[in-house]
Amino acid sequence: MLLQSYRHTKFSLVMLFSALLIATSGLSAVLVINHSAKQSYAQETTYLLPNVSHQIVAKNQHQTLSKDDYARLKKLGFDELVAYATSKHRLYQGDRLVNQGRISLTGIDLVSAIALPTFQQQMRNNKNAQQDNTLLALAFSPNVAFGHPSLISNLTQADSSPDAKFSLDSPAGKLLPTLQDIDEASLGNDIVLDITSYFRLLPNSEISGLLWLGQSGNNNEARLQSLAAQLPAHLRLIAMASGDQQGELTKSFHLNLLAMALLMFVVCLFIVLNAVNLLLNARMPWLKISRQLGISRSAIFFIQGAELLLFNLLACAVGIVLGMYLANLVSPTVQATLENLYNVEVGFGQVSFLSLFMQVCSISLVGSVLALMLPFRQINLALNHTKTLAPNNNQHRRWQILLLCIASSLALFTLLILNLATQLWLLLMAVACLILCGCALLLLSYSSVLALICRLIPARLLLLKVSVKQSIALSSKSKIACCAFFIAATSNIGMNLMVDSFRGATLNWLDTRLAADYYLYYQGEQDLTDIAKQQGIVLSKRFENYIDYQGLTIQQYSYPNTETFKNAMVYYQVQDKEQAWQAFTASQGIFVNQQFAFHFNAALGDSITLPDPSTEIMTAYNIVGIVYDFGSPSKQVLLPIQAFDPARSASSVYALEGSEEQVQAFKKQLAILDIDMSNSLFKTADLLAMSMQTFDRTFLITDGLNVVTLLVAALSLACAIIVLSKDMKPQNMLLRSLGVSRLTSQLLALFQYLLLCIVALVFATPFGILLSWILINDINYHAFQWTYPLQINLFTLLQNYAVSLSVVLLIIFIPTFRASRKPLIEDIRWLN
Amino acid sequence: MLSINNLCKSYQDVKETRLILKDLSVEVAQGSSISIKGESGSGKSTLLHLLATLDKADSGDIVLQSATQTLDLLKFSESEANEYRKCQLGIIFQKYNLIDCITVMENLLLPAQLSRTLDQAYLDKLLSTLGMERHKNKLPNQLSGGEQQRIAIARALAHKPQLVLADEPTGNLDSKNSALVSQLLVDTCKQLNTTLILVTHSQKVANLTQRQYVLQDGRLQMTGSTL
Repeated sequence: MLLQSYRHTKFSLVMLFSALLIATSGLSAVLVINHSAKQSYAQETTYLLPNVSHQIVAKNQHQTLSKDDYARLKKLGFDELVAYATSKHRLYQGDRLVNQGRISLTGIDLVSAIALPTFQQQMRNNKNAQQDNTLLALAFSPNVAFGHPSLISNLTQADSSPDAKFSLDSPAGKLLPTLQDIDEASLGNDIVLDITSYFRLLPNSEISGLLWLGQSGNNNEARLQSLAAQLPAHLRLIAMASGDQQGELTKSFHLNLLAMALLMFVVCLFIVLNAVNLLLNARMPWLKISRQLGISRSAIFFIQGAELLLFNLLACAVGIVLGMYLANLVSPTVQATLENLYNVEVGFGQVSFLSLFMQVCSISLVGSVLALMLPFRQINLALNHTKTLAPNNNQHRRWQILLLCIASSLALFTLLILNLATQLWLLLMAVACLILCGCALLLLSYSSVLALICRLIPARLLLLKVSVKQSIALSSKSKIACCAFFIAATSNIGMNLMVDSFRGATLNWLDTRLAADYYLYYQGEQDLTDIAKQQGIVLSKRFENYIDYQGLTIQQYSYPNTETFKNAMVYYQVQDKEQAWQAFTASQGIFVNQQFAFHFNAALGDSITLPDPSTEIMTAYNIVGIVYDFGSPSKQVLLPIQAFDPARSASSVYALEGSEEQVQAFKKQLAILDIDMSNSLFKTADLLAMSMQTFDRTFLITDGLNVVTLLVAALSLACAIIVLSKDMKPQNMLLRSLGVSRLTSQLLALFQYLLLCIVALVFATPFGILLSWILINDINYHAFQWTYPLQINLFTLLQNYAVSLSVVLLIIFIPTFRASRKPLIEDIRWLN
Repeated sequence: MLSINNLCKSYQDVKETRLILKDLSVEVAQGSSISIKGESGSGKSTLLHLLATLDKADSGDIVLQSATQTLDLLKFSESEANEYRKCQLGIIFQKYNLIDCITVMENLLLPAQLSRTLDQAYLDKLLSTLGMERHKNKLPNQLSGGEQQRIAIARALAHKPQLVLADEPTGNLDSKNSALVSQLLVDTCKQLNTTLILVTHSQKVANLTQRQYVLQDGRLQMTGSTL
């Protein structure tokens, strides 16, 4: 009978299966992305080596870490050190460039590593045989390099033969050793090989760092202290930026992604609910006949439940495959986002299909069971009574009181969490509570608001009044679908306002901060100041140092003293701009960014002790201003330019003030010196445009998920409409028999549904604003340690309304149009 | 005057074509009332649907003539059919007669507004004639079945139509209410000089009209007349 019924319920089946498919594929895609990224953070920068706790790097780029330094430290008995060298390259296969982005080529001194007790112990307690075997193979195979299978498959798209050869940086460049795959989560766009092979390929390269493969225990601490004491002056020992630190930075990104996926999942469940309702409604006559034939209600429920379980399993299997494909598809965008926002490189990761299936399937099953409760309750009632009793006034009042209690409790709970909680997941709970509170208030007020609208319609527009009154009836029958739309609209408004505020704040900030005419990115040895001076250009260097402060790596950054840059400073907090600037230029005060202030709980007037960038002597500095520094993951301290010693501090960014002619002359001068500036000298306007492009790309996934959520909510509404259109048929038939045209009745039906959506949108607006306020001031604050002012742009709100209503209109137009296309006589016959 | 000439209507079944109305012809004078009886499936409702321009005939003519105009119903475009239903026609169904979210008076106002013939005094009088003036601010579901059907009669006459079609209007009522409602329908139509075509199974109800017909083998046969 079930199979027979499918012939008459194609639409609801398609809806049901698509809802489950969208929900499971979205969820699996996000789980795969998050899982891969987390695996990468855990192992990143340790280059497949175990127990890497510290590394030695050069203090600045003027004095690099040489092979002699490595040899000297080894001679001093620090055998735990393992050298690595890394650089980024483009790869060619014949004349074809095979990678758009750059690929990291990393050489590791594996012979030293393998001889270490840490490594041998790791091999004895072997958990990852493939990794260790790979390292062993690498150490003794000069003609082999390793990469992740996905990377190799991307690179060898044109020629997948095992002997495919790649040349470095140009078609005529040196050839890479043969690539072999290793399924290692930490590997992203990385190719790993032995350091000897690396230097054979790139003989002029220097060592990038020395990894410390220590053993746990006090002895390790003592040896580290001894190493620090014996380090040459140009080197420094730093703790590895472990997965934790990067994890903290990126946690919010993943949490946001997961929250969006769960939101989409929940909205999908609303479709499941409506689609099941539709399915059961279509089957109701047959189910009633089954009951009359003596089939028990429990047997009917069991069959329906088993059918949905089967659907769930099928949708999960297909959804996971789709999700994995989707994750693969968006992984370049996600990788770019993480690299741009957090300077974190993400690998491809390994995900077990079975564990993913178990996760997605269990979430999907729990969700489906929740979504089925209401339709099953209705079917139970329908099979129990021959006539459904309309709720009386007392029931209605009880329902209103219950909603009021739910709304107040949720509001109170949200308020408590926002005031007391500091953990991200709790704050996301507060967001969920806020949205649910909105749902409860919407359901509580729907009929009153619609009744008020009805009262405002003049008596001469009776047909419109009838339509509004019908939407009151509709609102009570389509609660779930309306809630789904409200949730989607609220999150859409909230997210868009947040992104819009962030965009506005970033644009203002960049506009003010990028005060010079041009910016130059140059890491070479040549001193450009004099060349610039000859052309009449004012050139300001930006020095940067990385230091340890309270166990974290922070950035010391120079800031020019000129009037232009004084005006370009954007303060988050400052007492007196003039006094603060005077104190800063006189080296009596420093500025810190929001990230520093929020993380270390530093306030204006506080004194912090940091090494002086020139002398490295610990010096107390007074914080005279807290500045905005959007998008940066670094905790930063700004010092005047004279505080830096050009011989000690690295400088890679230069601000240029001069006319276009002067800059062209400057470029010509540099070309004579064989310095190519074509890809490193940027006009401020171009830089601004590039930054905003990166910004927009960053929020592409969020925007995509937003639209999908809206689409899913509209589908849910469409399902509800199809169920309700049966109830509305007699009334519409009556109107048509009174001479109301097909077009008018179609427009009236659309008006009714749109009216429900408009009311939901109006309710969603304050909740959306509140949501973006929480996202900016609570979630952003705790996750990224920076905030920005909330900007409520009327145009953005109107744009949201237009997009939301257009999506709904587009979706609900189909069932409404289908219903009105039927000749009136068919409806009348159906009624008879 | 309503003239039906050689009206034919068939339906396509799975295997064969069923001819429901075969060269059906009848003339009904303006302001008079006729009843049509017949077995289930004989084509009574089909005839009413054709008269209401809800369905299309295979062949024949239906012409509605008044002092000012002649309407050929079967040649109507969709918009003309809508205009005809708005202004010239009143329909009473067996059930689902009233719009349940608006009051009794608003149910009467609706056709009057749609046909742009709103006359409040006339509507008040109509309600009073049907004995329903005290219920005018109630919602339909606050009324009994008989009361609802009386309002349906008022609604069908609210825009002063030339023709009223009633499809078993008393089918859902008990005998007492059935007699009362039928009498009111016939009387009110007579008072307003409105032509009434009433489809019924009940001989008692049929006897209230001026002419009684039976629909058999696709044709109307007169079985009685009080004219």
